[in-house]
Amino acid sequence: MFSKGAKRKLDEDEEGLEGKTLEVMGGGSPLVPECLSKVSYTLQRQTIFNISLMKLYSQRPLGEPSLERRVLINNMLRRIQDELKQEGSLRPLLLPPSPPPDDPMDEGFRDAPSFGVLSAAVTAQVSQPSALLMSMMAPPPPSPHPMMPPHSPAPQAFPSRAPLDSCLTPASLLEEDAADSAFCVPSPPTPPLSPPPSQSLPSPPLSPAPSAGTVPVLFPPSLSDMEVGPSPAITRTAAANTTTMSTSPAPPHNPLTPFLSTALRDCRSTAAKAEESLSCEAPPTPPPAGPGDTSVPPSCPPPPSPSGFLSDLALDDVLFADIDTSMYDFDPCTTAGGVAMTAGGGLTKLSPGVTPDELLKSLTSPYSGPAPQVSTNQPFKIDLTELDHIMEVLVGS
Amino acid sequence: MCSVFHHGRGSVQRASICRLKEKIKEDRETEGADIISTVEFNHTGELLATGDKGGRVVIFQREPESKNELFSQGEYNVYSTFQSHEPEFDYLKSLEIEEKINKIRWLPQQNAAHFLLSTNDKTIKLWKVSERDKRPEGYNLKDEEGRIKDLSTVTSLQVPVLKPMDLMVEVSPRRLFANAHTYHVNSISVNSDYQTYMSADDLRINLWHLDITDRSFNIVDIKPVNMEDLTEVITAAEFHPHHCNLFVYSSSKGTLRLCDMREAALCDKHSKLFEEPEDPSSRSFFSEIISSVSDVKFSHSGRYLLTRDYLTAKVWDLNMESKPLETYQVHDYLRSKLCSLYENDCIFDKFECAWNGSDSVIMTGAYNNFFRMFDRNTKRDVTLEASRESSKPRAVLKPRRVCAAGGKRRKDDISVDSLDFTKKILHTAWHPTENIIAIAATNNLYIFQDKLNSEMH
Repeated sequence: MFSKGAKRKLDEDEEGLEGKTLEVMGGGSPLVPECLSKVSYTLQRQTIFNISLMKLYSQRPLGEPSLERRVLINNMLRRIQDELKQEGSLRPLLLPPSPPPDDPMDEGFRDAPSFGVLSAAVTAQVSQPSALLMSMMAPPPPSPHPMMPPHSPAPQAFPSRAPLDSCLTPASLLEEDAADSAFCVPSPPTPPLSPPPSQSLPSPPLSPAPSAGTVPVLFPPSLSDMEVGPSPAITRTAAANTTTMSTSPAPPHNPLTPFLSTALRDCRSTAAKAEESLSCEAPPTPPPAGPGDTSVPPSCPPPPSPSGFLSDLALDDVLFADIDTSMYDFDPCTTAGGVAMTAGGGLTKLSPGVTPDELLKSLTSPYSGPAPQVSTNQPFKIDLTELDHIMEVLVGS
Repeated sequence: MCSVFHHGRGSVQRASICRLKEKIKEDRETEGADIISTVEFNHTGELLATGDKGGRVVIFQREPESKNELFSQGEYNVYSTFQSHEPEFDYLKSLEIEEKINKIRWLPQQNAAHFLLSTNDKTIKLWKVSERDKRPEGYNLKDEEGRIKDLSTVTSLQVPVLKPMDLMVEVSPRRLFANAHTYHVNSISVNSDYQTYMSADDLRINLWHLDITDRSFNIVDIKPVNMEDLTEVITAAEFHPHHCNLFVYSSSKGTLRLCDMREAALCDKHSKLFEEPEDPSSRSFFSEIISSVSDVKFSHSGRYLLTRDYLTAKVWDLNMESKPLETYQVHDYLRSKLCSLYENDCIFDKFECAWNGSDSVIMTGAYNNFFRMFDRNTKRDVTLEASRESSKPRAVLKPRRVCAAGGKRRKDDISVDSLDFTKKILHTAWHPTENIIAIAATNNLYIFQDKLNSEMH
């Protein structure tokens, strides 16, 4: 937060905020914005898509829902769907959190000239941070709302305001988590807008992890860059490489270390919290229901069946008949929100229980021995492939 | 039923806006039933009607000015309260039909009685509000309670007389306009011919004669043959204040259509389409949602249109379709919060807007119990707050200011992050001639009055 305040030049409004963000990013690494913006754009899109789906399916008691609201949400979905069709892939949308390594979106990102450089950098450095990255990967595949980074400029359709528009996570929160060096003490996130009780999907707690986790690896030079958007896609790429590299010896990489450790701490705290909350909530549920569970249909807690939704909202049937219903049959999209919600709730509740010590302990593990990391991540990897398969069946792609 | 709280009189204030009084509706068992859902002055401003979520209508009357009391220049007191709509159940759709009053419109007064239209999602009702302060006495064949007398006891004839009694306000249903709307009625508007009115739902607009309840004419129908093709809904509609053949309706895509009933009986083809081209630089996922028009109002002169969308209020000239004449930012600081507002559904809130009597100032609501006023001539704007804490009776309203997160904050400024999004002012009304405004803040109705200078408000 302080960095923000310190850097701000305009005192008025979001223009100032935005300008400042761009300024920081531009100063930190000229390559960043373009690349990240594309990533953040797809993230935003995924998030909005997921929210929209959940809005359509969330049951309202008795009363007839507002047609205007449904039409607007439907238009939103259509628009995103059209965009995706043009890009030739529905997959990333359906499986935002843990796409398979060959995720087409990654290819899309590689198209960006700047990304080529960055990904190369990643692979070059991966041997060391890979374990860390893997450990980061495990917790985050989080919610169906990969939170998007608060301030990366969006490309294409979203030249200026979009990133801010679509920022679910309060900028302050992300900044506090990422830019504040004292963030090894996890604090329960505060929702952005003193949301009404009806507000759902408080996914903010999960979001900082990927962002803080990946960025330092890519942009060690500037701390302020940490608040610059995350790119799960990049994380994914790294993770893909990780499978083979995680066991390789980790040469000391000085410039990275501090950043990694902070990032890691942040990440670990999230992970620890997630694990703890999950173990509390559902002790018998084994790893599949772990942090990655949000995207695994079989292990999801009993979701309201999509068909039930459809039959209940009779008008939706009519309204949305033109949208491929297979999308709605895919549980994670609609149910993961619920999971994320409970997980988020758990996080918030339990976060005080996670002491800095624990975090430090967990912090050391990746350095001391990658083995446990790998083992803890194993289920998740399985999930990935399973999911991939499920997706192929469901989407037919 | 209704409790009114009179607050003590404060000292003389020099300010522009004073709070006259706050009406607090009695809490009812059903949660939220007392949330005000519409506010409307009648054509003289003497009466003010509010409707609430529980289907109840409360009418306030302005007290005649008294000369002994310097400051009691027409306070509004409860005049009558009645239950307008009851919850119903649609057995075909298995859905509950809420009793919530979506809109109230007064008919121009033509005799001693007042008439008003009230509507919920489906059914429009015409109510007669009349006073009685005399009662007949001395009937020959029935006694004071109306019981028939035993004829054998009637020995002489007398002339019945009218005796004065305590004033009684009677409200009686006169017409029921039902079964014409498949979707939710969002607007009703009485025509300047005083004989017809229209009712608009999400996809259709119907024209009614006030005396005929069993049929209406469909004048706009945007329902596509195939509902899959539906991308746009009607959000509000209103008749021109002087030309009975003209009306306007707004859509969820941010457009306004002016229709002329002389051209065709079915006004599916508009005469004019008012639309602002999208600014590509501010395009976002939420562009369409925030451009959806939540309210449209003709100016009293009939020359201008005032519309409200999520972030702005716009004034349109009927002679210029290409873009609005004026655009006022209501709460632009929310532009960076749209995703959260989408997530918590606030982005679908339908804020209304109002003109002052001379069409020089516009008013509309915002969050955190704030409402905004824009002076079209001086371009000054002000944010005011309707709350019990900040506004004592007769106290002057202090302008409020919201600063965006991180911005330089002055004393008393409120930051965007601490805005309360559950306290929203959706419904406001401006007295037709004077500077008196009515603000509905959830279950409280605030009536503010211009005090001495009428420069701005």
